[in-house]
Amino acid sequence: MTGVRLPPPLEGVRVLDLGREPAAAFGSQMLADLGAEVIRVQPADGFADAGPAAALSAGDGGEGAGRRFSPFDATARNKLGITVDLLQPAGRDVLRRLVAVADVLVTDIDPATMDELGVGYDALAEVNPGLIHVVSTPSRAPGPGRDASASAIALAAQSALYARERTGVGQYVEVSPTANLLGLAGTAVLDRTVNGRVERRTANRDLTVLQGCYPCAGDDRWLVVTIADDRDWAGLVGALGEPGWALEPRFATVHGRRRHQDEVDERIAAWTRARDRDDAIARLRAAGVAAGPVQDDAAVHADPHLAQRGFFLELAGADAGGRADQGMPYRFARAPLTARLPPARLGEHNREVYRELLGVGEEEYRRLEAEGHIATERAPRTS
Amino acid sequence: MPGGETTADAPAVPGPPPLDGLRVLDLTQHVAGPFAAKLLAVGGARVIKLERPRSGDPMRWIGPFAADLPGADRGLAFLDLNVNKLGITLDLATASGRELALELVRRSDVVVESYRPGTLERFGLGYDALRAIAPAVVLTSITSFGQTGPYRDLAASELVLAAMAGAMRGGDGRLAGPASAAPRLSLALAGQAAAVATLGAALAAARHGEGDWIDVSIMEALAGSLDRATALAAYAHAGGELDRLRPPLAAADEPELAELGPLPEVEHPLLGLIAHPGPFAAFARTPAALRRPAPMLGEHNALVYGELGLDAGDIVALASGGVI
Repeated sequence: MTGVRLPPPLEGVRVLDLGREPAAAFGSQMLADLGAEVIRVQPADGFADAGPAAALSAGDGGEGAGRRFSPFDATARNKLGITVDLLQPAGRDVLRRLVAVADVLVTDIDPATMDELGVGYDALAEVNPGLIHVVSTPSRAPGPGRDASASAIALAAQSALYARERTGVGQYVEVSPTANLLGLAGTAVLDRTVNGRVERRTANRDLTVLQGCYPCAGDDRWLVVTIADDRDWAGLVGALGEPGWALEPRFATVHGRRRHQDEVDERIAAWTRARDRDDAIARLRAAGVAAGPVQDDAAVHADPHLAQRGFFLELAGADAGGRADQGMPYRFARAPLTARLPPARLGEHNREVYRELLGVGEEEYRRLEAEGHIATERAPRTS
Repeated sequence: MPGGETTADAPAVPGPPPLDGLRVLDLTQHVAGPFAAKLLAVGGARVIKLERPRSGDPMRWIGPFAADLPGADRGLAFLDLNVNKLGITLDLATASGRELALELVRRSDVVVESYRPGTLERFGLGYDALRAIAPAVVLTSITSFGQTGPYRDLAASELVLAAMAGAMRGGDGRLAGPASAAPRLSLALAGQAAAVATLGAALAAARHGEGDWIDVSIMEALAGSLDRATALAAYAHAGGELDRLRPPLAAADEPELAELGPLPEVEHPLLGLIAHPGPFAAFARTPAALRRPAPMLGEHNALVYGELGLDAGDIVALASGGVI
């Protein structure tokens, strides 16, 4: 069979996650999911940028509403959570001590600001020459851009780890969300640079295939279909019951169908409108046609295929309540990836990290607590 | 990033790229798989793209084309998705093809493939066969729905996967109906996730000498997006109706092409200089760079098969037999 079970691939790698934006935190979570020990480092005022305190309340039966915040939870799985105030010298000293025992540091703070605070890459590399510092530059890139840069952060960190095996030293790596969004759209970039053309979208249509989204019987029920070639077309015509219009010569070729796509769309929509969505999809699939339902979040959550593959991970913990979290888009046959830890709440692992990892004594721990570095409750908002 | 510049003080003589030394056999076609292998190639891995003889990767024949003239080496998507790779041809369905493929696997750290589930096994090149000759090899399989589950063998397209993964926006009964992201964008995102997992397994294999088989599902890559993660966490906290928490319609899912900035260029033998999107990250010490254009069909047959010990006569014989 596939061989003995293996530990998670990044076991033994320690990552400091100072990400403030979701992309950096999500990229760090990808490393955590792969088995790295990721320490989420936050200021003690926690979710200062998180908006009204009302958004912090938990309705899932869990406790500690003041220590959790849902957008944070979305990217805090499998991480340890600690607090420190980097604006104070003692806090920056804590960061240096963390860096001394870390492999990777992920930040999305302006590198110039970190330099001014004396914790830029050059200063930290003196503490630990093996440090890999991945900096995500700020961006207003929309949804896919954030995903692209999260993956790019994880790729960059791992690539630098691979290089470190050879060179013995770490390095500074910068990830640009905008550049990575462009990277996803490489064909459009080449169309621009080679042909001087800006690709234009027309809803769900595609340059090379015939496809669309069609309304079905009922309220807000839709299906999508893609017809790539003559065989798909024959399947579609069969599923539709070989109506007379579809057999006309002008629809017999890819060229003809493209030319008359508006009419094809109307004909398909007339057929779907009169039918139950799932029944229509079953017929199309039986004919070998690529077709599927437009699923909302509830439907995705209940999808039997995703459930059978174990896509959703059950998160449970003292504060997390119990909920199914979306998992990873990959399964390792030999090194199963799991939700080892529920989303870390604010400062949840302060004691473990300060005392055990950094060897901070009880007296210093109390002092750091008094100075506002260490906290497990978010300070209430005054404004 | 554009121009490949870095803000940290780069060494006077930059070292080789970060993934220098990583050997990848790329059996993928279309978009998601080739994009995953391209990221490794851009990172500096030596990626050998294997295509079937004569027709090659079907993506070669999918537009848009340079100057709108269709040709095997003019497809812009193909050129983008296969930059930095070496290219060979091989018919995996023949006995000689399988033997040569196994020789190539022996010399690889990573194999990436995107055939429908079960296809590689039919070629006699499933994970167990690869592992028997190369215990440290990482096999990454990228498919629409994954290697298991009730949808495993369904036909799919990028649009179908986006719809089923909850990644279509605006499905609120508006006249125009739900819309997907720009073409190829979702598939590229899945390819990116596949590259992340692959590199993790490759790092582990370099450490303990044991490979793994990674099953990547494009549907799950889309269902696992950051937007959806945020929506699900909000749902758990609000205890409310999940379908009311659909991510807001993004203002624009399209990159702003008007502000491309300086892009790295590679010289293509037929098309001249082509400007590409830059590497996924700027490495101060070991810069990633675009080094070579996407290969022409079988361009590196002599080089790669020569490394396996085949001489010019062997290569001619294999070509005449339709194996390469």
